Amino acid sequence: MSQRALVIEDDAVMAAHMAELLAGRGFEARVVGDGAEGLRLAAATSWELIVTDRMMPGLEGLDLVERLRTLEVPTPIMVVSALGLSGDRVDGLERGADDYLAKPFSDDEFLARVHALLRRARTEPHPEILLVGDIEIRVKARTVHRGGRHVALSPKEFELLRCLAEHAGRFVPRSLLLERVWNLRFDPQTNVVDVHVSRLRGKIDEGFPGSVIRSARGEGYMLVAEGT
Amino acid sequence: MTPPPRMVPGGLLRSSTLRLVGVVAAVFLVAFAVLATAVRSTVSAYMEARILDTIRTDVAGLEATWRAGGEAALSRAVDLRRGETGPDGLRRIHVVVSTAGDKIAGDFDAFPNDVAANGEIVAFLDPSAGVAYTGLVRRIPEGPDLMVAHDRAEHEALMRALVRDLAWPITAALVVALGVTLLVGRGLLERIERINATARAVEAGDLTARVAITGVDEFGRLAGHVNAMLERIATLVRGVHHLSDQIAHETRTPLARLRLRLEKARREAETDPGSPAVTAALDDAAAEAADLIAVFSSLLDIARTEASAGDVRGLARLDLAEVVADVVDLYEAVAEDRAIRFELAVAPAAVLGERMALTRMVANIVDNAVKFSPDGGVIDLSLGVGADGVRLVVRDRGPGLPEGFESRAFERFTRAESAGSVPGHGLGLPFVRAVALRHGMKIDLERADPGLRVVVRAKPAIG
Repeated sequence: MSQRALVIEDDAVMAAHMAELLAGRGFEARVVGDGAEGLRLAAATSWELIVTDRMMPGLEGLDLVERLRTLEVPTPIMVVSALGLSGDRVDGLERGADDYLAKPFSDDEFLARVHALLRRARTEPHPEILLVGDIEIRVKARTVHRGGRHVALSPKEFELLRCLAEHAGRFVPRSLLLERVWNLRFDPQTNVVDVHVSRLRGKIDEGFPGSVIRSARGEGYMLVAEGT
Repeated sequence: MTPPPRMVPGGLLRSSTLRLVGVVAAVFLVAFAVLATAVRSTVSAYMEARILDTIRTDVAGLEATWRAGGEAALSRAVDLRRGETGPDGLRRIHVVVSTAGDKIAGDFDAFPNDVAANGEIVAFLDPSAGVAYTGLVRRIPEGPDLMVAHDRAEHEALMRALVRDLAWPITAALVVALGVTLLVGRGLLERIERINATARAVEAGDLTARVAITGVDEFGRLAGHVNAMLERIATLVRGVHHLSDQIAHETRTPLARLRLRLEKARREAETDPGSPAVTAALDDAAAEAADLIAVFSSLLDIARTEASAGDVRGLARLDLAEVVADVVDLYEAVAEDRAIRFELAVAPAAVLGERMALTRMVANIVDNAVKFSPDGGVIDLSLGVGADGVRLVVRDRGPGLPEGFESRAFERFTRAESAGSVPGHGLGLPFVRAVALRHGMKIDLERADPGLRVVVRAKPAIG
């Protein structure tokens, strides 16, 4: 069964691109370029996901989000906007958006955030154990075993692995790792994340052939079941 | 946009000056009226008192004459004084009548005011001559009735003369005051008009127009402030021009490279669509675009942070030590890989700020320190609250800044020659300064020989 997503975005190229990305994730995306029309559609039927721009004809994106929330529409909403300061983000989240992505963004970042958003929206209880291949992550105990052997990780390395495991098989962009692990919403000039990931690699891959963490075109990382 | 209606300079000058002169004249006239009334009533009361004194003496003398020589002596004395002018220059008249009401002596045939009581001061009119008098009545017990009066007309003439004498110098003073007001007012308004003329010139597009400064009074200071303001605006405009030139320059190269990479990808795709060279060229193009986006995002962040300077909304009390700990946590691995060590001397320091912006500021400073540190170097990081407030110091042992570069280091796209192959766009320190400004913090770059010392001073959060 295909999921339905509503993309409210007045820039046709951007809208088509997001629809295409969502289609690649099994979404049937409907695109509208007007805020008021977007609100009408969003309220009329149920959607699995709503992606909205901010500055649009008809209605401002955050006003739209606020209206939907007062109408008690529970659909996860991701705001995608060129207004990307942390103040704008806080504003967006306070007014009811579930996530706020600054334009421009990479495809991986968009998809990783959609994935994270839907994961949260499914309201599954947080899994106690994450299993990726022969890696076993006990979330509450904060322990990691690979092939039955305990792997000692620093707290940040644990968080890093956990975030990658939650998105196992998908690329997780650096920006998302920075936000989830270090609670930072900017990209440090030096690639500090790379160094932390390389340390994590060193520990998790020790004694195993290849690496379970793949680099994605210099943009992010992916945790896979089999070391390559 | 329509230009605002413009005042005709002469008209403005005239109307303002006239208003000023009018106000001065009105104030002067009111003051004169009050003064004249006061002088007149004081002088009049004084004269009245003196005249009455003289009359009382006169009455007492005549009574004494009657007691000594009876009616005949009194009659003689009155006749003797007839037509005589008193020591105060006023003519006095006397009337003496018997108890029966018959005239004994004096200027009138009848007692002017029969009903007046003894010792009463009475005013009456001599109907035949039309002259007003004020007199004192003395009804001597067992003797004649006696009255001494004086001519009010002369008294009033004297008062009129007094006012006339006062009016001349006051009118002259009024004319002089109005003249001076006119001159001074015109002078001041001409100086304002010079500032207006400068403002009009600037409005018309001449940013180099300045007010000629005359004097060190308020107008001189106003002209000075206007000039300083114009100077500041001119500097800012020059800065904006310079920056837009630089942005154009800085983005041309990556844009050109982006195009080259895309063209290369197309060439490769035309010869062999499946070649990994196509993917590689496209990846390069994407990386180039990402780099360009990063430059623009940084510029935007700097501009928006600068624009929010002085805005206290979104600022919350936080411990800068936590921010420093977060940043150290983030950079420790990178530093360790190059055997760089952090020497920490961090004490809690509460400030008012936006956590993410301050974290990014400290991260930028530490990022620079790590980037420019030699392998195996030490980076000192200290934070504390002293007498001069919160002080954050980051010191590296890198090449430091070239002589005289400290002042330019905060300009966008400015990089020291010594930065050489170290990656960067010259936007890190401008952002650091923007965040510092937004938080009312002061930031200084000091030469540490070897290395650079970045000092951030902040006001501690109260409470």
